[in-house]
This record gives sequence, C-alpha cells and structure tokens, in this order.
Amino acid sequence: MVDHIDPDPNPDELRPEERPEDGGPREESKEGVERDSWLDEGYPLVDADFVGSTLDRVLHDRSEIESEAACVDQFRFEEGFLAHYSEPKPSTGFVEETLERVAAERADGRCIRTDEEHEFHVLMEHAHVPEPGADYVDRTLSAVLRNREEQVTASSHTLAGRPFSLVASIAALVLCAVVIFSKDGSASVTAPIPWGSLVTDVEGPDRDFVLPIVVQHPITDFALEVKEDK
Amino acid sequence: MIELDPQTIRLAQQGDEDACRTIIRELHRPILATIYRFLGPRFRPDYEDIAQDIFLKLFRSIERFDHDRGVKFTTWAFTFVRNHCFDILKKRRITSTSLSVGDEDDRQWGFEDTDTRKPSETAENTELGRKIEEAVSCLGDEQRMAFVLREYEGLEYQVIADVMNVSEGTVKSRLHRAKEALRQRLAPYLRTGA
Repeated sequence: MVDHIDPDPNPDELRPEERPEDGGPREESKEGVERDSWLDEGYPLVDADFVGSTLDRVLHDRSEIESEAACVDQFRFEEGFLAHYSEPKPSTGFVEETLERVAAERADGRCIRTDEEHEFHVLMEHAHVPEPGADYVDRTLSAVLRNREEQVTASSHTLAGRPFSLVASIAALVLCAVVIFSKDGSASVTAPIPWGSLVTDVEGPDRDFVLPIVVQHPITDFALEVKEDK
Repeated sequence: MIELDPQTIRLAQQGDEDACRTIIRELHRPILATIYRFLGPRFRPDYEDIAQDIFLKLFRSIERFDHDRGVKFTTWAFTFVRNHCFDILKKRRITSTSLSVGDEDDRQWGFEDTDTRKPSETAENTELGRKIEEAVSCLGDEQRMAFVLREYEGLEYQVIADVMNVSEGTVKSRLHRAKEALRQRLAPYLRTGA
C-alpha cells in the first residue's frame, strides 16, 4: 500500500534543508556534493580584459575631448560670414499672442489646480491607513502562537479519527446492503434480519447467522404512502 | 547675453502681467532665432508656435526658478529651448522610423518643402545663407545646438555647458568638431580657404 503523500506539508515537519526559506530542496551533484540548484545556471564572468579595455577607451575619449577643446578657437569664421544665415523677423503680434496664451493657461491652471487639490484630498481620505495600535506586535505574536497550537491539535485529531471513519463507512455500506438486498424490496420486519436472507449465494455453516440490525420503518409502508398520495 | 532684472522675475512669479510681457519681449528674439536655426527648414512653418509652447512651459515652471541658486534666468530659459527642441526631433524620428516613406512623414506633420517659403524669407537668405543653412543642418544635434548657442547667440562656454548639462570641455570639443565640419563643407565660400 502506498502511503498518503501530503501535498502541502507542514514546514515544521520538514528537514531544515527542505524548508522553502532555506532555498527549497537541494540537489546533489554527481560528485555527491550538496549545492544550490540555481548556482548551476551561473553567469558568465566578466573578462578581465574588459575592464582594462573600457578604461583605456574612456581615458582615450577624455584625452581626445581635452585636445579638441583646446583647439576650439583655432578656427574662426570671417567677420559677418555666419550672418548671411539670418533669421526672419518675428510676427508683430508674437509677444502679445504669447502673453495671451500664457495668461489663458494660467487662468485655466488655477481652476485645474483647485480641482486637483480637492480630488487629492478626497483620495487621501479614502486611502487613509490607520496607525497600528501599541499592542499590535503582541497581539499578532499571540495570534500566531495560538494558530500554531491549533494546527498541532488538529493534526493529532486527524490521526485518531482515521480508524473511526473507516468503521463508520463500513457500517453505512452494510446498512445500504440491507435495504437493497432485502427480498421483495421489503426489509420491513422489526425482527432481526437473518444473514441468509441478505446473501443467498453463500453456503455454509454460518448461513443462519443473525445480523444485529433492525430497520425501524418498513419500506413497504413507505411505498404505499407514496401510492396513496398519487 | 541678455540678463533680466531679478525683480521682474519675482513679479512674473507672482503673476504680474507686465513682468511676463517684459520677459517675453526680451527673450523672444533669441529663442525664435535658436529654434529657427537649430530645427532647420522642415520646422519653419511652425517655429513661432514652437516658441510659444516653450514660453508656456517656462511660465508654467517659473515659480520653481530660484535666483539665489546662482543660475541666470536666461540660462534657465535656454534649457527649456534645448529640451523642447530635442523632444520635437525625438518625436519626429520615432514617427519617421515607423513609416517607410519619408514624404508621408512630412505630410503627416504638415511640413512644407524648403522652396515653399515666403518670398521675403527667401530673399533674406541669400545663396551663401542657404549654403550655411544646409551645412548647419548636416551637423549632429548636440554639435548644432552648441554651435548655434555660441556662434549666433554668443553664449559663454559655461552657460552652454549648463544648458546642455555637459562639461565645458565637452562643449568646446563639440564646437571644434562642428566648426571643422562646417569649414570643410563651406570651403569654397571661405576666403581663408580650407
């Protein structure tokens, strides 16, 4: 018989190395050395030359910038040369138009800001989180310990209750068999039922063994009552 | 470089309209010019709208500007210009890479071809001006921004470094490369020669 496998084992019953907080079950390598499975995947180590070559490039770039910066005034365009690329004059109403847009947005902005402020306060009221009580830690700790005790008690009850539930199941099956196999559908006798009336095929000395079960209400009466209702 | 009176900035922070007008009046020319030259011909029809968007962003955040930190207001303002322009280019690049045909990109954004510019604009930009424009447009974004801020707006190296959030040496290096590239491209038009 295969033992029942608990799909959700109690962490306290597990060995330390099997506990999830300890990284879960560990695999044993071929060499028999225990190690974490995630370490097997590994990550490529940075090439030692990479740091050096990057540093070289950074320093080279910096020195290049410095040398170029030193030459910034080496070349100058002739006086007035760049002025050939002139910009157009702005529209005459540009300043006033811009000011109007700024003023309009500021006016709208005040309304929006007020609304947003109100919404924010409403939101904050809903999102209010009460401060934990002074005895919060103690209460939580006692609740955790109580819960743990209950779990231990429940597990001991379960172990004791298994045989009881087996007996109860057998008794229920026997009761059903009495009803089903009784002759002419009537196990209506108030007297004890002879074993032979239930199992007719069985032959032997125990055929007349009396099963100590009494059916209180005759089934035929029940059937008649149903017929009368119709 | 233009520097605004701290009192004006303080008043603008409090929402004073005249102070806001002063800031826009003082800064609109350099900001428009930088956008115009940095973004190039493709964004020309929208460059005033882009400048207005930058001013809106600037005034949205003006309360956060702290004069006592030692940063000039103009430097702070140009940071908005730089960031907004880079955002625009970034968005445009994302869109253009998702489309197979380049012309569709232009149509979607409502860009006009360079030749459809206003006659007055074209007249202002002489042949040499257009060559310089083309050459500047060919620079990388960082080089172009450094070049425009230095050569056209006259910003100091350190200010450009603050605007671009890089070291002064990097700014100078970028400028050197930009000028070198332009010198090669514009060699036929330079008297001193390449």
